[in-house]
Amino acid sequence: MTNQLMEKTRNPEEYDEEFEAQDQGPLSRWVNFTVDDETYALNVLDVQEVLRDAEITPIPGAPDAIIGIINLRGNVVTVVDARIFFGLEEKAWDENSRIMVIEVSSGEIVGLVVDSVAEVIALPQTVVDQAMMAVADDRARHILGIVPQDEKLIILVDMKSLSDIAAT
Amino acid sequence: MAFEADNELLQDFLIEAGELLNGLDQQLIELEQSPDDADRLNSVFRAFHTIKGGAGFLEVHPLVEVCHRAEDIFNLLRNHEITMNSRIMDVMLQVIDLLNRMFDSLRGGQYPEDVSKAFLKEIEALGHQDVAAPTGTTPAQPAPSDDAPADEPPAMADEDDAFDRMLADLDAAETDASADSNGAGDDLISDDEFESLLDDLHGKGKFQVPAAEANSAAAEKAAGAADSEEITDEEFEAVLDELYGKGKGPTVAAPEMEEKPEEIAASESKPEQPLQSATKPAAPAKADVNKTQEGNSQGNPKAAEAHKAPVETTVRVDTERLDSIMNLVGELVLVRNRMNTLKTTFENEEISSVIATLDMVTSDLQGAVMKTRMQPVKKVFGRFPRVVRDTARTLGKEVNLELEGEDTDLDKNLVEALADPLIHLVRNAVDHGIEMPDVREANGKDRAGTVLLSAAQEGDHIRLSIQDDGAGMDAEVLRRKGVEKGIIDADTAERLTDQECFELILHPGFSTKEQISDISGRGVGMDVVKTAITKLSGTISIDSAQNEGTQINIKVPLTLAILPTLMVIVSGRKYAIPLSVVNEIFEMADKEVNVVDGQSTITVRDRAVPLFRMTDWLALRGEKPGTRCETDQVVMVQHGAQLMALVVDSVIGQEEVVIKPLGELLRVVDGFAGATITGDGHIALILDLPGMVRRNTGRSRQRLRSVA
Repeated sequence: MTNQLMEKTRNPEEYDEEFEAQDQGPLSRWVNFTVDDETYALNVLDVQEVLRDAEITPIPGAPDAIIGIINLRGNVVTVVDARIFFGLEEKAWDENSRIMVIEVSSGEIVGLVVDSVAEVIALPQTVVDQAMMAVADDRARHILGIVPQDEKLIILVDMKSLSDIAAT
Repeated sequence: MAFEADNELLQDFLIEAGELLNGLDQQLIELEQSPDDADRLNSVFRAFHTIKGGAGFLEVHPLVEVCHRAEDIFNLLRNHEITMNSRIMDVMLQVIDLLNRMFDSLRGGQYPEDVSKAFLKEIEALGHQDVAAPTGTTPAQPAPSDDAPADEPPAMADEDDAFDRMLADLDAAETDASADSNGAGDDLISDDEFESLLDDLHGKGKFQVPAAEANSAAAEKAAGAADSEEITDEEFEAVLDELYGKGKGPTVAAPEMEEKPEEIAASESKPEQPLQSATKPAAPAKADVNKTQEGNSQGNPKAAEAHKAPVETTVRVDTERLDSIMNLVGELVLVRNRMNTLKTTFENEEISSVIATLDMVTSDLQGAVMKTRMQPVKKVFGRFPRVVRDTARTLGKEVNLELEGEDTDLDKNLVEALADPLIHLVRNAVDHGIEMPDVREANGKDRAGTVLLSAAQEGDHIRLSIQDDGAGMDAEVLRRKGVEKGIIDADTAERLTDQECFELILHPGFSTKEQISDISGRGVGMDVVKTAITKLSGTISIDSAQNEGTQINIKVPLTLAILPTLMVIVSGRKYAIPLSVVNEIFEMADKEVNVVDGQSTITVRDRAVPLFRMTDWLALRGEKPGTRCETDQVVMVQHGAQLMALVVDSVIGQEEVVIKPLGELLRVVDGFAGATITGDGHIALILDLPGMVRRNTGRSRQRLRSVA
């Protein structure tokens, strides 16, 4: 049976206070997730929900990155494997695996399978803007920028270009 | 010049006036048949007037100018100052076309272009010509009787207006009645007077709503009862029953309208009172209306509005909203199904009975929601009188169009999708089917041909048929043409039955007409029709007899929202095959399979049918196609004219499913019409056979090539 649970995230208010104290201008919130030991982040506004578990029905003949469809409260949602989309090795579903439900540029709702979803972080807009300027690679349109955080690098991504899968 | 399209008033105007405009088309054609129909002239006049009023309010001057002139002409017509002729009709139809174009540009947010002065003059000229002519210049018809059958109070008019009109009508009826009875010098109201009174009263009720028909039927009944002079209590009861029994429509206005004939019946039921004046029957009716008016203005203004027309009781709902309700109901059905499954684990009678109730209510709800999407096929049929008339005129033929079963309901999407194919078929019937009048006469037929367009519900299907009494088709000619055009080879042609020959015309590129006309003959049409019908999971069949005519039958499902399917299991996964393509199901075990030219075939009743393993077709990446298994089952499907045998692991059974579209990302994937959520919450993909065949036969050819 399909079990859909909202992933609990930490109360975002806590971050606000943290950063407002440092007075670094407006904040934007990002959802951290990992794929193959790399930490990525998606703008919280793009993420509708995170599913812990769902039954994925495979589609014979679909592009490789599309691993199937799920029943999201009566709507059929296409599910894409982030690993395949990023050109990484496939990995079987495990207990940390999550489906992030996001909206892509065509307005369609798509599920993105990731290795794990960690937390919601708040970044000052100035930091984000700087990171975005540093990356100008056309080959990786989904990468917005890279932000250092707690001795790791967080790759800010924009999954709106997921809809390009259909075009290829 | 841009126009403020998001203006709510404009949208309302476009919808309401747009409906009037659609109706006008048909009414004009009907007027051509019976040019003296005063009711119809009035209603056309009023429609133009209403459109003009709305357009004036919105300051769309070109629209006003045209409507104003058209209205003038119809004013002259209804006052018998000029008579209807084909010239007026032609110009008026042009006016309709012009108005349609203006409406289109308004819808697109554009202010319509100015009308050429010449055209306006042309409309005006229609009036002058006939006035100059010496015939029929007597406005003898008294105004009240002209106004009395107030067909349809303009939808745009405010309620007071509608009421004034009604009261005026009643007054008119009163005067008429009293005048008549004075002339007759009779104390009692005569049957004729009573009839006319009723006509006047319920003339207002002709709002194209069943309730109104019930009303008129009841009124006739009342009139019939009045014939016997002395009405018995039983008869009166029966009349009342008739009135209320039939009047159980959803309209608010219906009971009120019915009250009037009843009131009259009531006064009529006391014929013993010898001094009853003829004006009396009208008086109580009037009082009654006054009363209701007062009551309404104090209480519910909506109800007063309903006096205008029962049409007001409907609500316009975006189909998108209906779709989302449909979706939610679908979800509810799934929850219900799960509850049903869980019911057995509870072993509690109370819970069981609650679930049973839930079950019933959900089913009813589902049915009710389905019904909201239904529309009468009239919506499409309404265009045909015009289509037939125009086509026939262009070709110089005489054609009568008969319509049957216009009230048959079908899904809104279907109604829209069927419009174009049907127009094509009707045109074809007029162009190819019906012969020229002289030819018909020579063959001993009426000069005027008949095209019968009918719709009827047959189980879960709607059958539409287009029948003409024309020349019919010659199977031999079609057979020859088919070979000539390279659609079939000579051997196949020999074996074709007559019916199969007729169906050759559905092939792309097939046209028997030597001459390509404006209307048909390019050999594309029928193919497009066939494709459109197939897309609606419908079927089309043709029957014809030489010199007797041709009949084309179309069968489409009642609704597109729910699809009857056959659930099968392939490689452990559930798939749904649309039932419309399934021919038969049988066990694989006892059938012989041969490989002919690299293609497996199975022999069914001495017929070799190509066999395909669904485990091949539906194999996932890296999945090994299965091998033959004892329990395999074969589903025979119809792909175009060809039969195909599909091997599946097992057949679950028939299930009605709600189609959920696949996302944009899966647009590139051929072979699936969508997905559905099954009773247990799982997803099953719905196969699209043509797409599946396209995708897989292409691949197998490739594979063969790589082997060779």
